[in-house]
Amino acid sequence: MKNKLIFLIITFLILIFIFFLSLSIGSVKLNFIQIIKTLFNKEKEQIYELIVLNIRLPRIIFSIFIGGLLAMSGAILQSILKNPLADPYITGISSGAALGATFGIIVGANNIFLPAIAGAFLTILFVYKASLVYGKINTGSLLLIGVMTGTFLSSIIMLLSTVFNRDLVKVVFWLMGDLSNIEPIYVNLLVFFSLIIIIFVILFSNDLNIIATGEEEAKTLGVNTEFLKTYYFILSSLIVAICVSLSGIIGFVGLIIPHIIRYFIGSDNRFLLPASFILGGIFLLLSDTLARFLFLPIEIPVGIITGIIGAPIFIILILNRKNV
Amino acid sequence: MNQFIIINDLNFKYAENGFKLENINLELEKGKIISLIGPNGAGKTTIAKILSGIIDNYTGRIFIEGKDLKKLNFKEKARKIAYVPQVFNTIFDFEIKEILLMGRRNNSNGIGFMKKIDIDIVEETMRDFGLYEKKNKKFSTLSGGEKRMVLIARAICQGADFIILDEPVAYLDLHHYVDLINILLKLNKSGKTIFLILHDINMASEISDEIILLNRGKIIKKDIPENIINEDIIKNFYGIKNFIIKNNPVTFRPNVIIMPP
Repeated sequence: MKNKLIFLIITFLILIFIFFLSLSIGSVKLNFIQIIKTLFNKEKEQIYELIVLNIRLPRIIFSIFIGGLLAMSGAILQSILKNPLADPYITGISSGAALGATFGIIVGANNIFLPAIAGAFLTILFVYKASLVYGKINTGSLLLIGVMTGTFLSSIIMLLSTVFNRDLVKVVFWLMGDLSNIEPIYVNLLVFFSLIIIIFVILFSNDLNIIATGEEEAKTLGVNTEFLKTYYFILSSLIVAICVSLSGIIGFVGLIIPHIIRYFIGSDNRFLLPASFILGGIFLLLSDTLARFLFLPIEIPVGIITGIIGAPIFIILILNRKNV
Repeated sequence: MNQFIIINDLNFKYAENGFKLENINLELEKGKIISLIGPNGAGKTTIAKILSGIIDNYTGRIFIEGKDLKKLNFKEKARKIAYVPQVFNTIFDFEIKEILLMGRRNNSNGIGFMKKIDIDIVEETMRDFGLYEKKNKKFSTLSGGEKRMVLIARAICQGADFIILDEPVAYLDLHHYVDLINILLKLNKSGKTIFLILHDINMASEISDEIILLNRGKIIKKDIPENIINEDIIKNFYGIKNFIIKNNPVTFRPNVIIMPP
């Protein structure tokens, strides 16, 4: 228990450190004192205020929350589906959002978020209904139907982007995940919804532990498993709908972060979930910082970086198999 | 009233394969060791799953200490009846202490930060079962016998007076087998009602106050071991020929001894 708390505190401190580090790096270099002064409105240089508050801060907050939410929903789905390979995109919701976004791009909509979230919600409804066996969510069906729905929708995306090939590059870039086109209003909304979602996620975290050991056993121990499955399916779907609609499909965060944490502190969801949020935030912030500066002046989609860093880490973890 | 559980006209059918339990009527007395035996596919585990609340779409009525099982919520059920499954595999690993704390879910909430009394109960149970020194060991690193002990300990943590064990001695070596029987007898002495699902007829005969014989979803007979373990029943329901029945020279309970063909 103590070790787990210490782990949470240490990762949180690292997050704060990287937060400041990321605020300081860029074409204009700032030191920590200048940043703190700017954050508390004590800096006289107007340009610093513009750089820190209007350009860097929204994007950094955005990265932290998207990374955190994705990692958390990965951890949830791994427990609910009892499958260590589950990631936030396994239920197909992300492909629904992506198809919505593709439509938006093809018809030249200004706002990609709305068609994306609409696509996500339609997919949530379909996957949920299709996964009911005798009126109850069957996690085996959920997994298969989710994967198949995802494959189907992805094929439609490929079909559309081939037919309307003038938008192909745009669609592909969007699909790879992109944190650069964020408007401040969305950041505020994201932070607001995230904080609410985090509270709801933590609320039944011990029941997630119990259901991860077996659904039938969980019932006999006093867990309302039908409620729990629906509750966490909806929460994780909401998370994916929001994240993908805002930032595209950023891979690997949701899959590897929970496993990295299991490696250090085990599978107790009461600690795994908050730790996933923190470490997911760290991971995506670092990746995005790299995506911004690795190939200056070109900025590459963050999804490429998370894949390039994420996949090797995952393989190393499996080779040192402990909890994975 | 001495009945812990009363089952009235229980009927249940699996939608998947059509197997059904038909007109089950039973009264299970408090403080006894009761074994449920019967050939494969008789419906033993189904009855256990119904009693423990895993299956709830049955017809008929089940009363637990006078209360209708369908009207109890999950936590109330878990306080009255504990279920020790036959197999238990975790994909994600938990420590022994974490597993036992899950037994206290019926006294806490979904977040699971336990009150002192819950932690005290878990620690006391770990001491009783000799698990205290290993409390931070991962479940997956335990032997089959140790795993079984942890699961029984978790059932004890639930504080339920009625404990269902599905094939508790399967895959156990002689040492753990004897340990387990001693634990069951001890629990029974402390007032728990023990409901066993057994393939091992001799164990059922030795340990039980009563045996229930189930076949193809119907109850054939419920009686003391001496009246159940006889040549006719073994021949008819288990379909074997080469055996004799001898009484244990110490307990005088009937035992089935298999002969070479």
